[in-house]
Amino acid sequence: MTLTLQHVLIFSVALFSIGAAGACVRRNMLMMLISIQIMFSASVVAMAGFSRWNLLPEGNAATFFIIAIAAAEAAVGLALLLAVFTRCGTLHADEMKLLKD
Amino acid sequence: MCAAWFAGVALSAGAILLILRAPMVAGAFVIVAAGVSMVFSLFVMMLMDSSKRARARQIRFGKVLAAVAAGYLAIVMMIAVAAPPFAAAPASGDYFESSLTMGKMMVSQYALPFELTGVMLLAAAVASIIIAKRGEGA
Repeated sequence: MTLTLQHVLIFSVALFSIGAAGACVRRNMLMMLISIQIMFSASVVAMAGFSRWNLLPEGNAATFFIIAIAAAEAAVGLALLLAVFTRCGTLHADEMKLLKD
Repeated sequence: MCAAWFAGVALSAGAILLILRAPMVAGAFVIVAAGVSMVFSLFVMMLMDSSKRARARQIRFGKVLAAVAAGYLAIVMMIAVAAPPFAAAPASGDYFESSLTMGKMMVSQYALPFELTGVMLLAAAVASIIIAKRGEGA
């Protein structure tokens, strides 16, 4: 079986959908952050696929920036989670309703 | 457990990046994902509330609705992806696969974005420390 761009993109779409479902379903903010990381992984795979099929190393270079953004997002997100947990004692998203008031 | 699953997903994505002849990207991705999954597993152990009280607060039918929405999204996107006829991957030469190409590109064509990314990572590290310290003080 020959690997085509469709296979890569379908895998990427499936991964992105799993991440989106996780971000919607889970009410724990840590789980939401992990789901967002899964969505980042999907974008990395799609970018690398397009780069491979067009033989453009620029796409791989751009993938590096996506990885760096994902790392920065994880660092800041985890620090925010820690701050929220020390303040509220929970990571449940439904408990965070101070902006509503 | 969920952090371990995330590590599995990251390793699989890294393997696919290797299949796509992007070894340097795969290496960077796996290193970053290993760090992230380790920190995630640490945070899961520290902060997860697995009591019955936490489970009781789940939205009713939320899982079903989200699964339906995600399935719909996946189907629509797969139809869009499957429509154009893509061929097999063209043969890639040393220029595409080489880490030398990537390194040269990072210090010439993408020098400014590369520097800005470094500044962004530094700012993220400093910000995470400040946020965590401020959370402790509150």
